[in-house]
Amino acid sequence: MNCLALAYINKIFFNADNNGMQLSQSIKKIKDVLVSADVITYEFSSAAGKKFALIYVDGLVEKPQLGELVVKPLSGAKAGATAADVRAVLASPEVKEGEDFSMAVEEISYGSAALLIDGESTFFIIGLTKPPGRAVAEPPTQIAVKGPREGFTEDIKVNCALVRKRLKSPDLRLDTIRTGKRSDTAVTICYLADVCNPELPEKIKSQIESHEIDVIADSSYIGRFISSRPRSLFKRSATCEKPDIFCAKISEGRVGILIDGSPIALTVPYMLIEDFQSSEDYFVSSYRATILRALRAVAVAVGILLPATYVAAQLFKLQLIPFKLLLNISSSVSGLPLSPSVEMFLTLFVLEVLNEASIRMPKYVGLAISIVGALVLGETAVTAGIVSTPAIIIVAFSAICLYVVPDLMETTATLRWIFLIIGGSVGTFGLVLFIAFLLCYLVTEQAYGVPFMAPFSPNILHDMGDGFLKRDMFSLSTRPESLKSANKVRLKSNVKGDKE
Amino acid sequence: MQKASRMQVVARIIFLIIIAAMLFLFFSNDFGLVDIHKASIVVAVGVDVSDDGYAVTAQAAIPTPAQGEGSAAYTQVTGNGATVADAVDDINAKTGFYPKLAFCNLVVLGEACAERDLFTVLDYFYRNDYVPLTALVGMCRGTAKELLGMQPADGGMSSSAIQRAMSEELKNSANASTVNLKLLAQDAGSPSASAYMPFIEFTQSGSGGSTTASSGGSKSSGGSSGGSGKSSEKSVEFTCLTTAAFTGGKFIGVLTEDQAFALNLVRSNIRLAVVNAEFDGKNYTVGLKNNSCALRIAVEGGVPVLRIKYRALANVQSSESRPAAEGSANSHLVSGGVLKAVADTVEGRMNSLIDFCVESGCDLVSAEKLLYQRFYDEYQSFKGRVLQSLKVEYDIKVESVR
Amino acid sequence: MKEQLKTRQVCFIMSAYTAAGKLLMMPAVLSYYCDGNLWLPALIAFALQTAAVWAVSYASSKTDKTVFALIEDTFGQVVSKIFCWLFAAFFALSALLPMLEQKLFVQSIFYDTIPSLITFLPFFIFSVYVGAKGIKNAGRVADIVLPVLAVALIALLIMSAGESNLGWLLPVLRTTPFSGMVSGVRFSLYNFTDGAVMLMLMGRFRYRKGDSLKITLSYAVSALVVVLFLVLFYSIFSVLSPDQYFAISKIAVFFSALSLVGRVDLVAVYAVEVCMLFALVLYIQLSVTCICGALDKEQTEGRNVRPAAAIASLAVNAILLLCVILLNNSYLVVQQFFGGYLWAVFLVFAFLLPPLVWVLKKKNRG
Repeated sequence: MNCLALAYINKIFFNADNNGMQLSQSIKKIKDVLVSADVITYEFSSAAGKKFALIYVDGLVEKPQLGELVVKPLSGAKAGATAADVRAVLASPEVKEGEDFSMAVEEISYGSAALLIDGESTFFIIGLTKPPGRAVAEPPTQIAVKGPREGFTEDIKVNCALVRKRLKSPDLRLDTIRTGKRSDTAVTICYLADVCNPELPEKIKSQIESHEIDVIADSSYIGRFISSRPRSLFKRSATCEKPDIFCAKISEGRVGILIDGSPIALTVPYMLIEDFQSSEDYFVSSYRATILRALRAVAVAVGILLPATYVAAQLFKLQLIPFKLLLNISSSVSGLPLSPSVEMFLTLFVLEVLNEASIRMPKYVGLAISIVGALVLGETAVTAGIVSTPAIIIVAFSAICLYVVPDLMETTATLRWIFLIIGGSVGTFGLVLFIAFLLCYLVTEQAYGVPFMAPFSPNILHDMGDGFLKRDMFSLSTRPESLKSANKVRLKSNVKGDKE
Repeated sequence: MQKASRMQVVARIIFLIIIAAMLFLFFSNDFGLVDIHKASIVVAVGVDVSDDGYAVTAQAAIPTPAQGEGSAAYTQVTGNGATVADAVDDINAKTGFYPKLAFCNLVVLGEACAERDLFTVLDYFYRNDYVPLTALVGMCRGTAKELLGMQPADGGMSSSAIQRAMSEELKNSANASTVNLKLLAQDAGSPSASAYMPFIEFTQSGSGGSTTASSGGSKSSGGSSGGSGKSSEKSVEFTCLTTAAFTGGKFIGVLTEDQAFALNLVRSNIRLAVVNAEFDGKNYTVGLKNNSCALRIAVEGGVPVLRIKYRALANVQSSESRPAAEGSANSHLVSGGVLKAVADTVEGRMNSLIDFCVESGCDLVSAEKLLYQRFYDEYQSFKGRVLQSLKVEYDIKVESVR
Repeated sequence: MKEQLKTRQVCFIMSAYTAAGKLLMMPAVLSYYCDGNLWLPALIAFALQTAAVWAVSYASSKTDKTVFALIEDTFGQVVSKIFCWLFAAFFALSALLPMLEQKLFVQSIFYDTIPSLITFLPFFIFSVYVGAKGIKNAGRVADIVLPVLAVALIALLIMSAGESNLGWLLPVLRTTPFSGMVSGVRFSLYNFTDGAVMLMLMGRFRYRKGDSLKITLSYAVSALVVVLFLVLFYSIFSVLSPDQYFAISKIAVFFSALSLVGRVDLVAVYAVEVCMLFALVLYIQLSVTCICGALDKEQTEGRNVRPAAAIASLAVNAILLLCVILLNNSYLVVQQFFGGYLWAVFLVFAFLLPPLVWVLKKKNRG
């Protein structure tokens, strides 16, 4: 919780002396701050007649365990009831002792239970937090056919455990800070101390702490906090939903950021090429991986440029279309009431609407949307002569192409609109000019000292082996130079001569 | 700092203005552009000389609602004008469609164009940056308008059929002297100042005869249209076996098929040529592979000597006598006598070509150009009369495939 | 020294932008004056420029100062400022004719019918943005642009090689009169500003042993590629060459596969066009750098452009825009003016001044 808020609570509510406080007084002190109905107080007595009270947030605590490890032993206790006696009886593995009620309030908010003892100023914080959440499951994105299937969840503790499970190194650091004035969200900065550029974690922490916001709803908020250009169309941190990818990136020298309540983790520094790399590239042969990466790059380029080029070609440069195809297109578009640019604009608009609707609609309506989209809008629009068949094919193919790199979708889908407007207004020259403009913009950009377009600009030959070209594992024995890692070597092979 | 923030505000305003302007252009498309709706895609152009100047016939794919049913319909429109450009403008005025020549792959010149300077007729095509220099050029008997208006046997566009008759495949088998706008100008602009182009002829389909007709299916001057699948009773087949020759832009005459064959051997890279030869009273059809024909010029004894060195491998494709070969198992082997007959035939055709060149002063074998390139000093003294003083030596060797 | 570039980036700038700017009108202009011997004036100009580039790059091994800092040390601040303004004007002037060429090129290869000037105007938005970005940006861009240019050029050269006939280049050096050669050099001189560009790059990269050789070699290789291109161009078009404006877009059209799949060569041409745009904007970047130097203002702060650079870029582009609008239909007049009179300016700034950097050096030592 925010430090200022804690000091305030302490000053207003807990300035009295706690010594020998009655249980009811203690309960009142806490309940005066935590007034919500979901804060439960459970009072019980030991066999010796000593009164206790447990205060916790309903739903955040594992109640059966609390009964088994705290209430049951204390209820049966016949011995004395000093704080030391109680501590000896408690069977819970995570117990903290305290006297400051502000700390009790804070811990209760985080999901622990506070055990108050009648006539004692000392209380115990029982860490049996079990917030509601889903189990570890395969994430909907970044799926690998051959590879680990675990994905991050919304619970930061689970996520940290997933990371620790994969990186058992003592050099793994999981530094947790809290941000969000009201949400008080835990943010864990993960890095390998001997690999990562030492300035990086501190810089990230200070950047996160330099912003004060009410609520951190998702990791994307943190993504913007740590970005030097938060308004840019291009993101400055990579997102990932899978611990295996997350750990691989940390082991390259990046810093990972886990945010409580979000299954999407962030890694920085980010380079554009990262989104063209899939975890599976490292599990399959390097030849296949190289082909796939080239394919992704081409698909994204086609996805962004195809609708715009089609419109520009029809309006300004027919020669861009092969002659026989041009004749077919010419037949299809003749008699249409719309100009090529407006036709494409409408088709793309319908695609975006369908896309948005199919994501937001309940699943059982999704099928209906597909039928309406594919049959009614697509087929009928062509038959009615509102749009042409090539336009629908192009938009559909463009959509498929962009989904080849889903992590870049929000950027590429926006770029597709921009290119379309340029293609329809200035023509192919506009497209070339905007490509040059983007190139010029992107080569200057950097995140945490790492150029955005590395390893292409600046040209880092060593890192090219894991760019669009994917070299085999043994050729990538050192970490990427662009990340300026403290420890360069990641693979040492002691086998000499023929490995077989 | 203040300055920087003011700059940002200015940048944002400029950015918004640019976006607004682009959106306006995007939705209006109203700045004089000729898009696919307003253009007719011209695939072939025919040029005829008329009393008033020129008549240009454009065969164009005009957008008609077909909705993916396959090939597009086409139309043919004729425009008249004092120059070719003027006539093209006339087409625009008549149809309302802007004729886009970027896809024009064929330029056909009517017979009457022979009366004018070739490059005066073709000037428009060289000046217009949007006409591809790859467009094939040919001259036809009769008018280009009539030729383009004929219905080919396959029911498609006449221009496609004509282009097939002038295709690379036929060029590579020495059956057509295919040239494009670039090669034509290069030949004419070289010191030889001579050019050639296929002479397009047509025969009535199914008639079996090879006589050429001077008129075909005539169409109205306003324009005609057709489309694939439309059959015509008067379907024709196009051939380009003969070649029209030009010197200094002037039409000289038409080479015979044999002369055209020799010209193709000399000027093109032939993959497989087929020659008929008579030996021992029997006819042999011989295929010539691995053709190589090199022209070398030298000045010997004050006379320019043109050496034509021709090499090829022959195999019998068909003969009236079986077995033709000396070894009965290898019937594709060619006997020495047949080889000699073939070599004599080739030499005879080349000789005929040279005779034509010398008589007409049309340097189709590029002797003058070769002299200019290799013996520049001697060229100065022979300039303009190389053909007259030319001595030709043949070195023709045809061997049997083994 | 404020290191803005790596040696590799200097090499890339000297190769990529050298080649890109010379593939538009220069082949047609040279073939007009020199026929099949068009490669000779280009070779002479390139040889002299290579010497100039070497002189400047070798001088970089002796000092880590920029040329203006050296002038200031030798002649004082006033003279240095004057040279800053002179070079700023020179680079702006160097951009004018290539910009008019670029406008015609754009209208030719991006549009089927002659469009209005408005279609070229977005270039100036790009130019204002990139122009203000500084030399570091030019280096970073060159890192990407050179491989793109190399691949595109190789593709175009391969596509066009089949149509070439080297016989058209014969007889060698016999047919072109000396005056033709001189005219060829004079009228293409505005393309040869590489010595002056190298002068601007001096003192902006950390010199290591052998760097001058690397830079000179990269320039020489690029020069050879251009000469090869000229040879190929004439061997394809011969007598038609003088009319083939924008050689790069014409050279590959005879590739037989294109008849089936359409103008795929345009993809390579557009890739070269990206490089050409940056080559053209480099002049504006250098002009802005000189203006900022003259005003003692920093051009960039980290990645951000300072107001001075933005205003300078805006001013240079505004002047050029005005010239483009005024001279919209007068390309040939401008070309004649450049070839007839302004060639001397290019001779001085790109050929004579670069070697003089050695004089400055000596005076500094003294």
